[in-house]
This record gives sequence, structure tokens and C-alpha cells, in this order.
Amino acid sequence: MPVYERGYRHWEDSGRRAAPAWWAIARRGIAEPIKSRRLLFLLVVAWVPAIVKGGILYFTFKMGELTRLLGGAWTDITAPGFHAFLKWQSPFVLIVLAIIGANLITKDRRENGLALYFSRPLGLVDYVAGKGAIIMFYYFTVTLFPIYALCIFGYLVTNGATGMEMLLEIPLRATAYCLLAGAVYALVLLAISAMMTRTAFSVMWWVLLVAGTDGLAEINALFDARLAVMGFPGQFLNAGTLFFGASPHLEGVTPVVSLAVVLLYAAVGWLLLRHRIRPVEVVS
Amino acid sequence: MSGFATDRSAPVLHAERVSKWFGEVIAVNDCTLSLGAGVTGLLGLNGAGKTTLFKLMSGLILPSQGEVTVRGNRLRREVGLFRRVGFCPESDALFDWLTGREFLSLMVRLMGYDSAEVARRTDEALELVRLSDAADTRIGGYSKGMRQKIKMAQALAHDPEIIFLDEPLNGMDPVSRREIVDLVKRLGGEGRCVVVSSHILPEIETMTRSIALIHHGKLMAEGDITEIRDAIEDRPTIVAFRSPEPRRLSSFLAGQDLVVGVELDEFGRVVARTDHAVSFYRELPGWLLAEDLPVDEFQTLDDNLQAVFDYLVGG
Amino acid sequence: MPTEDTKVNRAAAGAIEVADLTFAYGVKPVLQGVSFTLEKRAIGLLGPNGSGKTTLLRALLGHLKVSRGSVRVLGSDMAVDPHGARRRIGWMPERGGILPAMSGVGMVAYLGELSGMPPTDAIQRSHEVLNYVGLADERYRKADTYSQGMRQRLKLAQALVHDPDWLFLDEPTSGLDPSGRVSLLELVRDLARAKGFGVILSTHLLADVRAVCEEILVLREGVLLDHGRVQAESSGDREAFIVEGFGDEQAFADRLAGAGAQVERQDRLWEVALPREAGARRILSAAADCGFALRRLEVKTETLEDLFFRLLDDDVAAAAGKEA
Repeated sequence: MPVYERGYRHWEDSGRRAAPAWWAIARRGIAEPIKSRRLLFLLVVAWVPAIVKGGILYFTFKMGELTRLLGGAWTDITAPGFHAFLKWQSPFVLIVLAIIGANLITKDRRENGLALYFSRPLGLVDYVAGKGAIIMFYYFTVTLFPIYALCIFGYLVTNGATGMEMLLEIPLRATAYCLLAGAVYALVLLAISAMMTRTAFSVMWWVLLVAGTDGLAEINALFDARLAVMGFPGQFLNAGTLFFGASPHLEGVTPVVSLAVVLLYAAVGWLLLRHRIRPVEVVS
Repeated sequence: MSGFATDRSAPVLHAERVSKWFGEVIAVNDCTLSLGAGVTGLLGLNGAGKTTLFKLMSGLILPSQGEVTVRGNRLRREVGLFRRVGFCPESDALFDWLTGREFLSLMVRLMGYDSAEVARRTDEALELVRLSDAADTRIGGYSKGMRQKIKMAQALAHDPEIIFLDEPLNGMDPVSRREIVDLVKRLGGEGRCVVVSSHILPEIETMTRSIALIHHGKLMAEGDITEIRDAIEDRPTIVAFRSPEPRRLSSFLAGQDLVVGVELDEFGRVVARTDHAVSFYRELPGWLLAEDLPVDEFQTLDDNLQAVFDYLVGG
Repeated sequence: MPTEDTKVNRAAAGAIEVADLTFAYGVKPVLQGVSFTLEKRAIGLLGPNGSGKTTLLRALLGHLKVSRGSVRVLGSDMAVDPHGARRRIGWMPERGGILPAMSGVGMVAYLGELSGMPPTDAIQRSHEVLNYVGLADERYRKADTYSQGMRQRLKLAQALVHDPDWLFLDEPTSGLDPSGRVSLLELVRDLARAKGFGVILSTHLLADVRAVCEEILVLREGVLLDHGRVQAESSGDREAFIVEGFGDEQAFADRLAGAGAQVERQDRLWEVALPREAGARRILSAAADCGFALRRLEVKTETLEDLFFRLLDDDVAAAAGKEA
């Protein structure tokens, strides 16, 4: 008979602290994609607009005139200006999240991996929170963190001339918005991921949802401005104007309505997740 | 069903020096095998050539070398010979949208019978595998066991003389398992040549004592399990005794020349090893009586299929 | 006499207690009033398709909202707080059960962390456990490159990493070749008998249960038919033996008849019935007298298969009786 080392020893708990389940999921999921060179490259590219803006700020200040009237949004260091910055980052958000998030649950479903997760002491909330944290982290990497960096840079470069607005107020506004947007993006993307068993389809649906509805919305808005509400990313940006005190992003749709739509997306996403994520696949 | 194999010992299916290679890889290497009436188990590890040999002998693929004959007729030569062979594959590709009856009728019709004959044979085959109740449900709704049964039914409906069953008990619940094992034994008893391939050795043992073992593409052993076991000479036979006085029994046995070693196992049995099984068995009753050694029961541990398999193939 | 206190303490210590467990999918009842208590031993869970085995295991893991009854594992009510008990349960699912794109050791360590182990402990245990199941050489490879035999062992490893008290194994030998099956069952038997684990083995294969388990639970259509030992003992004043050997068969048969035995032959096996006390001795005498060699002399007990089918048949008969 084949003989294996009969060395089973029971585990002596070292007594070191264990992390909560969601953090174990998040940590693993955040650390893993970074190993990919392509992703790193993409992230660096995503920071280019921020770097450019920082550079422009620097030279503008060096010229001695901190004028907001020069060059429009690139030199705008008020809150609305950062809202505009977020608008530029939209394509990066689409791509980075597609890479990171589309297969987060898909790959767990493919080989009945969910059964392994849910035999552990964790619930649906832990699982979704952990996976969601991964998505939110990378979302922050292309939105919130560049904003932080710009704010600190701007404050230092202008020797504090910008005041508390740049150091405190804008980061706070940005944090609030990004937390909301990040969470809702995460829920929606995870819901898509949970419904597919092949990564390619997850990516496809995500792209359709983000870019596809956006395109449709723009076309339809030509006929009736209110139809812009069908565009997925547009609702986020429009709701964001509430956070940044910016002028409404969409003509026919008030920001409050957009906010409601965003929350609706969150609810739908959560319901889909609850429905699709089962500890055991139902077998007849 | 007509009686087959009037001469039980005459080979029905014969493979003569068959080999099959795929590029550099040789799957079956120069095998000669003769099968007659009754049930034979075909065993081997994954990748040992078992599946390929199976397909060669059932005519699904052509050998690279050598030939397979059915009662002297080359298998691929005469198309009519396929009528005499039934094949139950391992794969699960069935037409889920058809009912069991529809699927079976379709398969039977392909054999070229007229409608009345098709209906009759379909009913009989369904009855044989105990699937008559579920015959008019769609296959998509069948349990794993029922799917296996319908596959078997299509292998049997045309009353073949030679039947190949590839992992027939896969995923079956114990009740269906027993029904199919009984059916297989009955088919063998009717004089058909039934070849069964399975991973689960205790199941093969319930169906037959006759096996063929393939390893690394070569035929490693063929025949009755006990005969094969006895032919393996480099392994001592292991006999386990349950006795109310294990110490006395152990010391006695240890003192015998025929016995190579004695020990107590985890179950409290006295386990003796001997290189001369036949003499040991013969002397044993006399010893126990003469020394008044009480024994509740004893058995040979390694004349079962698992042990034989391990000895020949083992890790 | 065990007092209520001691019973409760023992139960809380290692046991699984199911009381009047009832569950239905909509209108269709899946489990009906199932009750049993299990100590930490190797128990086989048997039943035909649709008997409710999988549902029962789900209930034991706390994945089910039961309509009636309770499930207590290791002292925790699984309907109220499943997490506590899950730290001490290892689950080996039948289908799939791996996280692709992770290495073997990575996957097991990750799952260990999710069971509440500190990361360093998890990694160390992951290596240890993979070594125990025999995957030491393959542990750095990605799990989805593993063969079926390796996958089953990997699944066992992830069930062991957090050193649970109970293992729930669902068809652990599915898809394994004969050697793989035997080595996996050996591991499970070692864990159950020598290392103190409680094991519930849910399977179609009676042979697997026979190799590992001491107790069985038999389910049929959601009803618990039996909970008992694997081998029932024979009773009565006459005992049957299974005898196998070779030599002068006629002479042996004559001598057995002369000793008052009733003999039935089936292929190589002789079934010999004799009065209980005298039994084995008389068979040995008969054999010694005519030089008949014996390979086997066993007391005939109800085998697992016999027990299983008897229970099913009894159940069917009882149902028919009720309807009549």
C-alpha cells in the first residue's frame, strides 16, 4: 500500500491575532493583481492627468499668478475643478475596474469555490465586503489617491496660499464621493461577476453597462435631455456635483435624481448578489 | 433472448497482438487477449491504456497493428458484426430533450429494425434496466443513475452477443447499482461476453472473478483473481486471525517454519505471513486442533482484487 | 447513570445533535423529523438519490433555514450562530472545490485564514497539511493544473488546515482510480481512528463506508431509517460460517454433513451452519480429517449491503402496509 508520511499533527494556536475574514479576502485580492506589469503600467498611465495638472499648477504658480481664469479646468483648484478631474478619469475607471473586478466572483463560481468560502465562518456580507474592498481600493487608486496627491502638492507648492480648502475640504468632499461611487461600482460589478461563469462575459456586460449606456444616453439626450438618465456612469458624475458644488453635469436630469438612481443601482446590485451567491450550487 | 456460446470455452472476442500509438505515445503495446462467455473486468490506472484497449476491442478505433476478431471474423471488416456488439460509453452526452423511450427508439431504429420490432425491443430493454416507469420523462430530468441505465438500455436493445460497459456504475445510488450488477451477472450467465471497465475494484468483484489488467499499455495479468494472486510469488500471503487468545496463537505461528512473520494489527488480529500459501492452508486446521488454539475466524487478506492490483501496479 | 449535566457536557464537547429536523423546498418535503446524535467517530451517511443527504449536510453547516427542529454542532445552534462551529468543521465538497489560479499552498493558506487563523500560522499549517496528504511536491503549482486525484487530496487538505474537530466529506473518492481511492480512504481512516477526528462520509459507495466507518446513518426520502453500527451481529443458536478452501471437496462435504452441518455452496464459497458454540471447531476437524486446505473461515454477519437493502425493503413494506 502506498505509505505517506503519517505526520499529522494538531495545530497549536500561536495566539497571534487573526484578521477578520473580509480583510483576509481584501488583502489577498489587492496584493495579487499588482504583480502584473501591464496593470502597473496602466495605473501609472492613469496618473498622468494628475501629474499634468500638478505640473500646470506648479508653473502657473511660478508665473506668479494664481489665476483661475487661465486655461479652464486644468488650473481650477476649487472643488468643481476636481469634479472635472474625476470626469477625465472615467475611462481609466472603466478599464481598471474591468481588469480587477470582472472575474472576482466568476472565478470562485467556476469550480464551486463558493462552497469552500461558505463552509468557513463568514457570511455573505463578509464575502461581498472583502471583494468590494478590492474593487474600491483600485478605484481609489485612479481617483481618490491622485486627488489626495494633488491637494497636498498644491498646498505645498503654493506655500499654503490655497488655505484649508485644498488641504482639508476638497479631500473630504472627494473621499465622501469616492466612497459612495466606489461602493456602488463595486456592488454592481460584483453582481455582474456573480452572474457569469466566464470572465469574458463579465467584462462584456460591464463594458456594455458603462460605455454602452453612456453612448446610448448621449444619443438619446439629443432628442430629450431627460433620457440622459439611462447612462450608467453619467449618473455618478451628476450626483457627484452635489458633493463638489459643481454645476450639474447633465442637462435634463437633476443631481438629486441621479443620486437616487445610483442608490437604486446599489440596491439592485445587492439583491442580485444575495440571490446568486449560494454556498451550495442547487443540484437536482 | 437466444442462447449464446454453446461452447463456453471458445473465445468470442480475440485481440491478436494489437498495438495503438498516437504519434510517439504508445497507448496499447502488443496485447493479445481472448475473451469468452461471461463477465470480464478490465482494469488499469488512468492513462494505462485501458480506455484505448476498450475502444480497440469494441471496434470504435482501428489498431495501428494487429487485429481484433469476433469468432474469427475481423471486426472492422464486416459492418454486420456491429450488430453483435453493444457499447455503453462512459461519456454523458445524451439528448436531454428527448424522453428515455424516444432516445432508445431512435438508437434501436438505427440498427435497421422495422417499427414493430423497434417498439418491442425498446420496451424490453427498458424493462431490463428497470426504467419503464420513467421512460416517458425527458432525459434532462433524469438522475445520474437513470442516465446510466438508459445508456445501458441502448447497448442491450439489439440483443448483442458482446457487450462493453465503460464505468457503468458511475454515480449510481446503491439501489440502482445492485440492479445493474445483477443484470450484468445475468447477461454473463446467458453466455454473452461482457467486458466491464471500472475504477472501483470492489464493484468489479461483485460482478466477476475474471479480470484483465493493463499497465503501461501492456497486458499485465489475465484470468481468475485468486489464480493471479497465487501466481504472484514475491509477496508473502497474509492471513489474519481473530482469536480470544492472540498471544498463544502468535507464538505458535511464529514458531512454524512455514510462517515468515507474525504481528498484531490495529484491530487486534493476529496477522501471519507465509511464502508457501498452499502448504500453510493445508496444515492450518491440523495445527489449530492439535494445539487446541481457539480461533473465532480467519481470512486471507490479500486475495482480493485491490490487493492483487496493488501488488502488480502499486505505488 | 449519566446525569443531564454530564450528557450536556459531553454533547457540547464534540458532538452533533439533530432534533426533529424538518425542511421542505416549497411544498416538497426534503427532510422529515430527522433526529440523531453523533459523537466524534467515523459515520457513513447513506441513501438513494433524493434521500436528502446533501440537504442534511447543508443543515449541519448552517446553510439551511429549517422549518422545524434544531441542529446543534459542537454546542452551537447552527440556525443562530453558525460561525463558531464552522471554525471547527472541515468541508470537502463533491464537485469542484478549488480556487483556480491559486497555487496549492496559497489556496490552503488563504482558506485557513478565512477560518480564523493568523496568516503566519495559516502558511505553516498549509505546508504541513499538504505534506500529510501527499502533495508536497506539487504544492507550488496552480490548483487548476492538478489531476483529479490531486484535487481530491487538495480539498482534503483545505478541510484540515484549521485543524477542525469534524470533517464532512461528500463523495471523497469520486473520479479516483483504484490506487487513489485506497490512499485517500487510508488518510481518512487514519484521521478518524488514530487522530481523533469526527468524520461524516456521505457517499454512494458502500465499499468506502465499509473501509472507514464504524457507524452508519441511512436516509430515504428525507426519513432517517437507521442509525447503527456497520456490522450487525448474528443472533440465534445456530451460527453461519463462510468457508473457502481447496482439496477433496466431496470428502469435506461428507464430513461436514456428518458433523451436523447444513451446507450451501456458491461458487468458491461454502456457507456452513452449525450450533453456535461448536461451530468453528467442527469445521476445522472436518478439514483436517480429509486434508482439505482452508483459506478462510469467517462468521457470517449481515454485511453493510444486506443491512442497507433490508432497511430499504422494510421501509417500502411499511409504506405499502400503511397504504393498504
